[in-house]
Amino acid sequence: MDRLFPIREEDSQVNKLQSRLLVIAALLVLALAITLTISPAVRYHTGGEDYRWSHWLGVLGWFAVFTVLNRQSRRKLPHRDPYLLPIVAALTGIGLMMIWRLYPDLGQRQTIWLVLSGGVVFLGLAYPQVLTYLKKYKYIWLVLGLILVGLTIIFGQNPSGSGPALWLKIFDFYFQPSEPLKLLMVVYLAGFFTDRFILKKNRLAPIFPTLVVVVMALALLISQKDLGTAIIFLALYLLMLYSINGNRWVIWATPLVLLIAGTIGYLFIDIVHIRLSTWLHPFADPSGSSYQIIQSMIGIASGGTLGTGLGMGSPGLIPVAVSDFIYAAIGEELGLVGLLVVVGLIALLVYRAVKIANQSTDIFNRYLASGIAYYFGFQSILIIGGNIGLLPLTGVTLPFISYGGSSLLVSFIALAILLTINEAPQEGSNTQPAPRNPKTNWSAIILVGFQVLEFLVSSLYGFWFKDALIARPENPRWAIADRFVPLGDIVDRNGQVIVNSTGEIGEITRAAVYPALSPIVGYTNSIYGQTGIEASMYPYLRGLVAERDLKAATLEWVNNQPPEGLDVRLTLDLGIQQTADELLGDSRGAVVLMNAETGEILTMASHPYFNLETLEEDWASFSDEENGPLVNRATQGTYPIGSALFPFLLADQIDITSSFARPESILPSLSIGPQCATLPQTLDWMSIVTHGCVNAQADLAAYTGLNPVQNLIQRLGFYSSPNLRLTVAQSAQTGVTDERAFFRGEDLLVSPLQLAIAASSLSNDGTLPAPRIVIGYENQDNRWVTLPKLDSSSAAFTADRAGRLTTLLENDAALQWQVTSTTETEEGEPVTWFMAGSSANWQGQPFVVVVALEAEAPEQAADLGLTLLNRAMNLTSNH
Amino acid sequence: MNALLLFIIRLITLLLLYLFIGWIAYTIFMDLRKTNQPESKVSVTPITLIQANDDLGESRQFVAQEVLIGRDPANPFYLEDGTVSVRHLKLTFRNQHWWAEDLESTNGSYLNGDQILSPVILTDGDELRLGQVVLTVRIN
Repeated sequence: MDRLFPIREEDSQVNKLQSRLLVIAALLVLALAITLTISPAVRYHTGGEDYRWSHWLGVLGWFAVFTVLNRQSRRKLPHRDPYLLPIVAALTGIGLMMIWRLYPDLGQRQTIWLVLSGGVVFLGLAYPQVLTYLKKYKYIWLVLGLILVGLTIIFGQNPSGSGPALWLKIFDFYFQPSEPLKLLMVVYLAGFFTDRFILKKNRLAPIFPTLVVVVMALALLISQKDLGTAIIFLALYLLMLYSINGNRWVIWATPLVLLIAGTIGYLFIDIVHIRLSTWLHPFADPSGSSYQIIQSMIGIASGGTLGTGLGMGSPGLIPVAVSDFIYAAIGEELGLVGLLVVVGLIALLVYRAVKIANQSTDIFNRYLASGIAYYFGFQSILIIGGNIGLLPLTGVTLPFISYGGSSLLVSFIALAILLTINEAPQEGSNTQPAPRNPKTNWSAIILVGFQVLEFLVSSLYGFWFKDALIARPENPRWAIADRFVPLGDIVDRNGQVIVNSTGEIGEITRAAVYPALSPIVGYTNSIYGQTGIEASMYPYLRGLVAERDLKAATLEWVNNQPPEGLDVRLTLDLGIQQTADELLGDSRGAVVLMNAETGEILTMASHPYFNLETLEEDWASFSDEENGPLVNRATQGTYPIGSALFPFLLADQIDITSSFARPESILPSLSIGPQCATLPQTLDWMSIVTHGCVNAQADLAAYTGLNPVQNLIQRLGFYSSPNLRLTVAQSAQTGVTDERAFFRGEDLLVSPLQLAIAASSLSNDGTLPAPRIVIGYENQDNRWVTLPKLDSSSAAFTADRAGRLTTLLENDAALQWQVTSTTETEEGEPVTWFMAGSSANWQGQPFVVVVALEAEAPEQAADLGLTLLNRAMNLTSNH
Repeated sequence: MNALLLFIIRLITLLLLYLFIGWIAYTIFMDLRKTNQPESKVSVTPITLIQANDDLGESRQFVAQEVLIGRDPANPFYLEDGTVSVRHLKLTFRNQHWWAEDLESTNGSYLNGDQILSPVILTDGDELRLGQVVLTVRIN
């Protein structure tokens, strides 16, 4: 370090201070570069093979530029301001490392620009008399600048291929002429006011020539849609006018001019309209016009106080992070502490420039220095304010930090001017420093004050609103984290894997070991979000609920990654599930097999299902279909209940079966002709319920009366949604329009899950069990922790009524009851229900099964339902 | 291993960031204190300058220890006249007297008709001429 930035005993205070500060800045750049080298290895949890090296080229360039400039300034300018070069070195270093981190290609370009800019400053310090040429030929410079900007109207290009054509292509490099125009405007104004500085208050005549030039420049910029530069122009002009002229009307006129300009822009220029409405309503269109600003805010929020560390966050998610939004990118990776340093350094730069202006004896130099102070200060305010939503977004750069060659070069030229100006006062021995100009100080204080305000707003995002912003649905960082740390597995009740995470770190994806369960388990996808168990159990699968041990804390603080996921166990039994999926095959429909006592769901099938691996390719076709494979038909699909209501009605009226041995004596439709799902052999009570004779059901309902029927439906839970860790359909409406249709079960829409819960009451002594699909999760100590049910059980019938009904419906051989029903949806689509359960005489665990098919297929439904029920009942009897 | 190294370097980065900005703030603070210290409070007898050339006849009073007169509007007393240099004349209060000192102006300064070549003491009623501008001095 001492060789690069020498500090000698005999050196002046200025030289010593500058070298010392540059040493710290150099160490800072080295520390950032080392972080950047190691960070991929830390993210991927690997050794040295993932180290990143390319950015050391940028470090080399940085060292080359600042060691040379340090020596040159020592030789040529012994009385310069010692702070300027180190401040610029630090800002450039932070910016350069950030650019390399985001896009190494652009980092390479920026390094070339940095070396070029350093070369220009080197020459500028060697020939300080350039300053007088600036003053002498100010009109020529300005006209030259205007011509260059004018050229972009004809030859303008945009490096990204589209957008405003503000660049001129010279060989392979793009140059933005509006950048030097800002500095040339400052030079022109300083020169002009020096010549005619005798401005009596309230006398406006002398400023008219400047007005003409400024308006010309503005018109040129607005016609090219370079609004950021236009605003900077206007602000620079007004600030300089105020600090030179000292008229208070300038202060009052400024907001007025901006308001008028803003209104005109809002009404007539599209991009101004978009920017202003985004500014006024930042959350109105999070995926469209306010996407950038929201991503920027989320970026600052996810950095928090200390930041993720360079290379450890995801600032690439913020659009154009490398130039317009580099402030937000720094906020994410270096945190609020990093932002404070950036804002602080820019404020110090403004302060030093104003100090140079105050100390200068030459009026031109003084105006020039204060103009440069405003240029740095205002441009920073504009883009930082745009990044945090405090000001409308304008595409200008953050001086010395943002990617952009023209901007870097011009900022460095401004630096050279400041260094040279400060050298001037010591030359004449008898000249005294001119008194300070309070107007310049006030302008600078306003600028710095605004920067402080902007930092405070940033810290609101990084601290106060941190959690709210990170939790926003537009934040895809969780999906990136899932690619680096595996989520927990989802396993069935016996520990067989349904879904797991596979792949290399950085490429980890969810894989369905048992794909047929995909509508139930759901998906977790960076684009489409989360559904099913993946959504409801995410805090467990992601490990967020786990107690934070040292490993989790290390992952969070060092790797910026979430803890390892916890496995989640479901109540499903993959053995029976497989049978269900095979038998259901290509039919559209759903199956629910449930333990009637505990409410545990052993099987839940919904066909058709989707394939997790091809989800993104199939998405377009899925979203066209209203009831596509993404829907979990078992919980979200609703179908008219039809004659499946019959056993519940009869259980409610169980006494009539003993009073009237022959059903047709009170159900008149039976004598006319029964309408049944399957053909009954006889017309006794058991047969008409089992075979789903819908007109008999309607007669029984009419015999019961509307209110008692609705009361029964209420008790069966059809008017409320079941609560389990899955998305469920909205419950049925209580209103009844056509009483007969209602009694025929055509108006009551229920989901297979709801029907299975209701059916459980028949097999479970009249009690509705609370459903359960998730048993629990495996904590870090590999112990299973049971999660509570979300609902509690409730009574639908007395145990006596339920027992008498199932005994009545019982098929002697199997100790089971069953009901088949066929009906139609409102659109005329056929629906087949099959519902069966163990009877009261069954000694083992009670089970019920519900099958819903979107077809008229009573045999298939019955075959499927009984196969599953038998398997479940055999399972427990064997144990 | 990498993770630990990275964490330590992040902390070092943080320290360096604040060392850098802290050092700048400290030296600037010390610098400001040094420049402010020697200024001891001296009671200054007010001086009034009356501009006679102008139709309006501007008159201003000063109590500062040092008053600069010139064409530069940043001067405490500035004169819009082509014959006045940017920084023309300096008035200082030393040893209970107001002294006038010409700052090598182009057209020279005159006290009661005599050119000021070295610092001279002003008294009440003196007439100063800067280029073509005439000022009357009132002390007290």
